[in-house]
Amino acid sequence: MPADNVLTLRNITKSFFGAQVLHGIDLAVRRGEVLGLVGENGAGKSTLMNVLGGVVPRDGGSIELKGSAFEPTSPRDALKAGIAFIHQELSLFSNLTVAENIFIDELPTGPLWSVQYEQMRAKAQEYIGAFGVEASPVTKIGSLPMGVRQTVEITKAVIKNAEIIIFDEPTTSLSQKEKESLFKLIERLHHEYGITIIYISHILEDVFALCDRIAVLRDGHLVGVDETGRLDKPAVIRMMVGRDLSQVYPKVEKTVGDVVYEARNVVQGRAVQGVSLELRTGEIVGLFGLMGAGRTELVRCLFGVDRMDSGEITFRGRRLRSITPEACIRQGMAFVTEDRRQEGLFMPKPVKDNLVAVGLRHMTGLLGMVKRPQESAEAAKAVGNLGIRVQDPERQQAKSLSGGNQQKVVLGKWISQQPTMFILDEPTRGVDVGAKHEIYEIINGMAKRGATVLFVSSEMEELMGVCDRILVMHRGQIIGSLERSEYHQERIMSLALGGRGR
Amino acid sequence: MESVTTLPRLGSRKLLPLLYQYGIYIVLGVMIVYFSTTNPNFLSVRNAMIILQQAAPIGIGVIGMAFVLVVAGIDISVGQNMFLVAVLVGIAMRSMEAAGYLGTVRSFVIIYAIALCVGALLGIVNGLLVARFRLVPFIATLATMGIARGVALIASNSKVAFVPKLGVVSNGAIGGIPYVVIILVVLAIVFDYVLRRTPYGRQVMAIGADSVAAQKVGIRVDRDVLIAYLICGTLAGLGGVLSAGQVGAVAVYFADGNEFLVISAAVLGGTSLFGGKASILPGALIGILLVTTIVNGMTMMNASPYAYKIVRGGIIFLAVMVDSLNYKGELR
Amino acid sequence: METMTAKTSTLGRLRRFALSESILLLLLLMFGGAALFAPGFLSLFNIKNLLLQSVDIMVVSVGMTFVLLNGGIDFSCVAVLALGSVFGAWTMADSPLAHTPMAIPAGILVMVGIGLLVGAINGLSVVVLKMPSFIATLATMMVGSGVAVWFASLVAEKASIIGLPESFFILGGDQGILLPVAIVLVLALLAHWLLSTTLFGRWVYAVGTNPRAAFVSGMPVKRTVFLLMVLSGVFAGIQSVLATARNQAGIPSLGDRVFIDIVASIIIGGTSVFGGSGSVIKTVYGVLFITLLNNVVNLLGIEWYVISLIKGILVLTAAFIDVFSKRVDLVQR
Repeated sequence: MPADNVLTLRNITKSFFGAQVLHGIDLAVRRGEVLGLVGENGAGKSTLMNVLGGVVPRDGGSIELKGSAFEPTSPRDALKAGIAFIHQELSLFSNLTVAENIFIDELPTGPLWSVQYEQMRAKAQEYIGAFGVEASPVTKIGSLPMGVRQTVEITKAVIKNAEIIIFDEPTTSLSQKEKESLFKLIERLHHEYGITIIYISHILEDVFALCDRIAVLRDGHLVGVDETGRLDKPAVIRMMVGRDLSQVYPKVEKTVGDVVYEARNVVQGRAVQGVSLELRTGEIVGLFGLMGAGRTELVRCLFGVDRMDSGEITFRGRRLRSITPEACIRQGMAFVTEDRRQEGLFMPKPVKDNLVAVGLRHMTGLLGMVKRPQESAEAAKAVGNLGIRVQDPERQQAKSLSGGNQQKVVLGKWISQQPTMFILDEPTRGVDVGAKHEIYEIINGMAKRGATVLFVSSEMEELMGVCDRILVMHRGQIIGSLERSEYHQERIMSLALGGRGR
Repeated sequence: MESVTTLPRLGSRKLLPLLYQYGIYIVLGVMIVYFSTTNPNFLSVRNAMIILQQAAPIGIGVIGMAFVLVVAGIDISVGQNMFLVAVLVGIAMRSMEAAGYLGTVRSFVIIYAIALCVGALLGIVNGLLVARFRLVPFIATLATMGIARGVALIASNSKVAFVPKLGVVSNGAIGGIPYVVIILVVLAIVFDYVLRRTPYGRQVMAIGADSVAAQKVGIRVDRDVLIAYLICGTLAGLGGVLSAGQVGAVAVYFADGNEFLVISAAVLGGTSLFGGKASILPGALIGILLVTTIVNGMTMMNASPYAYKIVRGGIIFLAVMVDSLNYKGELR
Repeated sequence: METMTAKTSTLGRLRRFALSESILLLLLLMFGGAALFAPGFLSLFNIKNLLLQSVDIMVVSVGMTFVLLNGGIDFSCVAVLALGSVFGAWTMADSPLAHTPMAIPAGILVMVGIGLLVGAINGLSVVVLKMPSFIATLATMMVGSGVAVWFASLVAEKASIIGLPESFFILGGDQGILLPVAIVLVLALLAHWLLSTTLFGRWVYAVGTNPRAAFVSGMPVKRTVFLLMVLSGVFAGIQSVLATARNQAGIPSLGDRVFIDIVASIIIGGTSVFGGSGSVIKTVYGVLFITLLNNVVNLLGIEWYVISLIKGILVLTAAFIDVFSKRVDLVQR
């Protein structure tokens, strides 16, 4: 029986910087259904939705919306066509009221160009009442909790006659109660207003509870779409991760020693809820988790980039009293941040300046003067050791390098300090295959020399290939730990999704 | 008032913004009490009128500055804007005098039209530099400040211009209330209305809160910011011509430093330097009232006129400090 | 992503030099033009004048360069000039220490000390109170200049404080321009040395370019920002010494007119207002350029107020170039 499709995506392809992110996606969305979209980080969910929402242009394929071709060139086009996005970052203005926010781009006016507040209030109240928003239209957004704000954003979409609403990980900042309200709301949108919903989330229980059908993406391919009734959790997990582990990872001979780093009960807000871990010399420990698991927040706390609320760190037998980057570096720790552009590199500065950024302190002589020959030598050494492809490290700006080389520069600035503890947050993100391999070898080399490595990544495969142990985080806690012998894709994913993997 | 904030809890987090909101009235009250004890003439109707009259022209500039500040910008050219306007008006008046029709209604219309146009022109230039060419507002308006001053000095040959005729409006009154005060109040009402009850006003508030989201939601950010600078420049021009009439003579240091007076008054009145928060009614009025009261009170006290600069500097420091703390607390 | 080819050819090198040292070229051009077209430019008297005038703002401009390198601005430097002048002069002329051998050293100490104090207040406001530098320094400027004028009115009948020990005036060029010029040169070299060769200098550039990356890399961001504000204050204090010596009096309105010259010198010299790029040498050229401009306008008989216009336009042009050069870089990526 032919379904009534409100949206049809045919053969959507998209590449970024030569890497293909979407491989010919064919997806039909039925009118009035709730479609769940699941996949690992980097599976392509966000990119696909961005293509649909007019945020990025697609390379190939076609989109058919309500029977006619849809060519969005901007988010406004998508909005006008009836597609609304509820992102994690809401587009709300905290200094304006609920009603003002809802109508901000088309405020109704009357005599003397005055905003018709009564009219706005009334219309807003209708929907607010209908959706059970715990706020009056005249409350300022700034004083409302997250859950209510999200409902306001949804109200905006509905009032603008959205026919398709896309939710992108909507429950990450919500409390349990707020989550339940959201689900009730989605039910109503679905049943009473006939709105088609695309629900992106990695919380499988929710997806199973809410959605009529579930679509699974993996590495830019649509692996499967089926009725929720015909699927179960293990099946979905299998689709999410079932890849051939064909990548060959460099092996290294090394010995794992004693525990050298201990973190006890690290807490930070709701992101990190009491994490404890132990790391040994020569060990490469992976930290896996899905979005919102708290991995990045955790490692940032460990290095002192962000402040932890409570927790104890012991390194090399000594309890660390003040946890700041300066202090950690002095203890022999290093940290490669997730975002090299914002926090890892000085983009407009030469490669050399970047390479010596951490070690500069130790290259000074009389009166604090920097020893230039030593500086240049160190930089040249790093370039050689890491195989950084740069013509003139003294003058060439960091921003002119390729992603992979940039990442090597970041690694280089830390390695030259010969740290005994290395925290890496997504070190191979945005890096080409060849450079990735080189980075794995660098990591192996460090471990061989006795350093400890904590390797945060969203790529299960590389963690399985490189790490001695994998810790899995879920909702701010370490929910599981697997030794090499126990590596199993579905088991890891199951843990990451919150289940109790055997 | 359109919006209502939920009742603040009495933890220190909520107490601070509350204090900030009403603190200025307390300060004003304290100042008035203090000055009246040191000089009995202070608390007279006549003196109150003098204060209001002195405050009004600058107050008009404060209203305009509120719009620029609310989009997280700044305009430090308003002082020289006033100077340029005064100079050009002076020139126009001289030629009108020569032609024999200075003093007629027509001449006044022309004078004020010049003031508004010149102010508007400067405002548009600032707006283009910031919105279109993406210059840092501080630097852009620093440059226009210099250019305005330069043009004014060239035009005036750095000679003093005597403009007593302007006093008809600037110093005149009706029913005991000075014209300038009436103009100020009317403009305050009008622009407060624009800020709080028109789509433009709501949209600039949104831009100040989050200009990226504003762009996403479909607000024409560039256009709105340009208009904000236009308003600021035009009102500054008006303030300039009115102020010139009060002073009577336009010398080289006319309106010197007025930009900081205007900014201080705006911030004291509750407009945030960081954008997204502004108050014209009563903020701008209270702000300029406070500043002028201090000047007046200290003059009556025969305090060295320099002490007021210190006090004002101290107050603006405190005001901005609270502004900074407030801002960081809420968003960052 | 293709890497940019390094320009090692001579033409490339020349072009790069021209771009980065454009202010120097501009300066030489203006000098040449002045020599040719301005009557009396090359006279000894005029050259002496030129040097003295550049001395007037060189030190304070060099000091403020550090603040601009961090993406900030320091309004209070002019207040330090006035404050220092007034308090220093009083110390030397009317205080209990006057007419003693300690008078001059004490006076200098006071002036530099005031610069240090104001710089520290600015630094704390920015680092601890997290106020934007332009407001913090604006406030200190207002308070400072107010205090200066008030104090002067307190201790002197006329507007300025006179009666300073005569030997102090040699710092101002009384016995020949050599001393002040030498002092300024030494200070500029010191600042240049600090910025270009020491660890602190590297930190200033790093923090100005990307404070977050600097923080993660273990650089002491807060300390660096605090110190550079203090440095700006101290240099302003030193300038106050020289200016007071030149004027031979403590003047509470000192520095009233020169703020735009100082900022213009730094910006036209090529230091970016966004922070992270620039240098002391560029500021030195910038100061020479502005001084030259003032001088030429004078010699050519152009009314002195045309210069306000010219300066405004130049600052605007420099700002445009600054913005566009950043945009071009981004586009090339």
